[in-house]
Amino acid sequence: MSVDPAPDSDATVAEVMTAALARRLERVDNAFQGFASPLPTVALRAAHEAAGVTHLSASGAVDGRPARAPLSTESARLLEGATAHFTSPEAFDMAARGNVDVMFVGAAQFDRRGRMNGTVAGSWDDPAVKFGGGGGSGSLLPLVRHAWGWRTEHSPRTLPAEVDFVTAEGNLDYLLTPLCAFERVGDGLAVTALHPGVERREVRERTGWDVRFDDPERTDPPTEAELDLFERVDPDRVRRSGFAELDPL
Amino acid sequence: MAVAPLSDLAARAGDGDVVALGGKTLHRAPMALVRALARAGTTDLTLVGLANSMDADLLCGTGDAAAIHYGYVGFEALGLAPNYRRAVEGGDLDAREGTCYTVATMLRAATQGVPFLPVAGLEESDLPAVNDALGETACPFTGESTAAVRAVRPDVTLVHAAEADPDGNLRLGGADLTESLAAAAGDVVLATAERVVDPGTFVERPGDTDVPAHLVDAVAEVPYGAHPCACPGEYDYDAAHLREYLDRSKDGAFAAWADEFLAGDESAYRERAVAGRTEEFAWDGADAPSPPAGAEP
Repeated sequence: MSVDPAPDSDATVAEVMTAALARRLERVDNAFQGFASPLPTVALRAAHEAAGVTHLSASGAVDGRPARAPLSTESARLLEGATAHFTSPEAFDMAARGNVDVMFVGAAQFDRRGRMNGTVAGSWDDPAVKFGGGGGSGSLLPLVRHAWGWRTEHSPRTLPAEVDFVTAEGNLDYLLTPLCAFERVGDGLAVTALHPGVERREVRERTGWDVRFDDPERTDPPTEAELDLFERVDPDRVRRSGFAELDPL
Repeated sequence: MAVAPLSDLAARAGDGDVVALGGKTLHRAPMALVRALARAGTTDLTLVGLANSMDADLLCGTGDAAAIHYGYVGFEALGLAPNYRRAVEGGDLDAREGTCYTVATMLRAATQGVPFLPVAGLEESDLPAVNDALGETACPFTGESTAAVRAVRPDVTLVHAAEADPDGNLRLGGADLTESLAAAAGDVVLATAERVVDPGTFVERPGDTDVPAHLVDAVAEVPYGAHPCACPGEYDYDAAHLREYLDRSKDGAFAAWADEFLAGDESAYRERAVAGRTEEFAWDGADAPSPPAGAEP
């Protein structure tokens, strides 16, 4: 069953986001991806191919080079072509020592201060929706050098002013959505890049707080070479999973 | 006894036990052992896992899980865990939510025979306020404050492996996910394997044995023992079955699903859930496990 909501489009905002992450990754030595992270995993696969970034995977793989990026990013398919096995508790230890450059984090909610909630909508004592939990993030957000958040939905529900529950708070300094990129400026997040065709008004309307814009640049659309690389490492387009809809660029 | 029938293994677990689950998310979940516990009616269980999916969710659905120490329970891209979610929202499950790292450290404390361990991280998280297995301590040498976790010593650890030898040595197939840690922490370690191989098979490459027999109390040969989750190198997760389970659980039809798939034994399960469908979740580049007895040609 395909996870691609736009099978006839060569480029969508999923590729804009993948390219933004892959370019940013080329400046780091290593990055760790956990489970349930298909888009960051494809970006990391691409950055490994393009720039040799060390890819640490929850699947236990170091620098896996599977023919097809898997939808479950805990999958042992990421062990294909890997140079070593390295379990996720070992990767957590490495983070605890301060040696993980970047970790990707997903969450049900991110707020204006870069705090994240993967635990509950409502309150702990009176849950409206119980989510699955934050995985490793509660421990790791203060430990990794940089945590990069990502979401396939940009709405007041997913980006409230204050999260309902603080599963994790720490070194989240970048947050990528289908509309824009936020970076940490001072004690909160500010928009530093707007994706192609996105206006400030739309970001304001779809964010749960009074958004700050810090001289945002325009995200460059993916190049032909980038699109080719994404198709090569991710022929099943798992990078597009989780998006309710995707329009052609 | 190393090799024994699955029902004998399940009989080693009792009501009220702390049960650690090997595997992670959709991969190498000890599903046959979980089904066996459900069939035996073993209840009031405290589950322990870093990140789990249908293994934990099924025991929430049957009402046999009373509590769970966990970092995540869910089905990744396939969705939230419906029975876990309903149990927590209804106040029927004592959710000891931590992180994958705090649960791993709780198990490490058990492997070392110490009552607690300090652990890095958790600053500013609300989790310690809602989970009394998470605390704070001071370094006895410097006075520095650090987060800490309580040891959790599983009465029983459940793991699934690709291969076992008759003594109970295990080869997981693919990288260790949580199995070595969970096995070292558990008082009784119960394993299922896709195949039990001849004695001495592992002697040539002992470094490839992931869990040694002296940590394993009993093993049962159960083909498709991780189904509908994946057993790396043997078969992938069965997305169609998982989606059916999720849909029926969400629609209030978990009991009907359980009647259909838990009745009888594992060979009955394979007849209903696996037979004739193995191509749908075959592991590319590997031969699919032999079709179960009674499979359609």
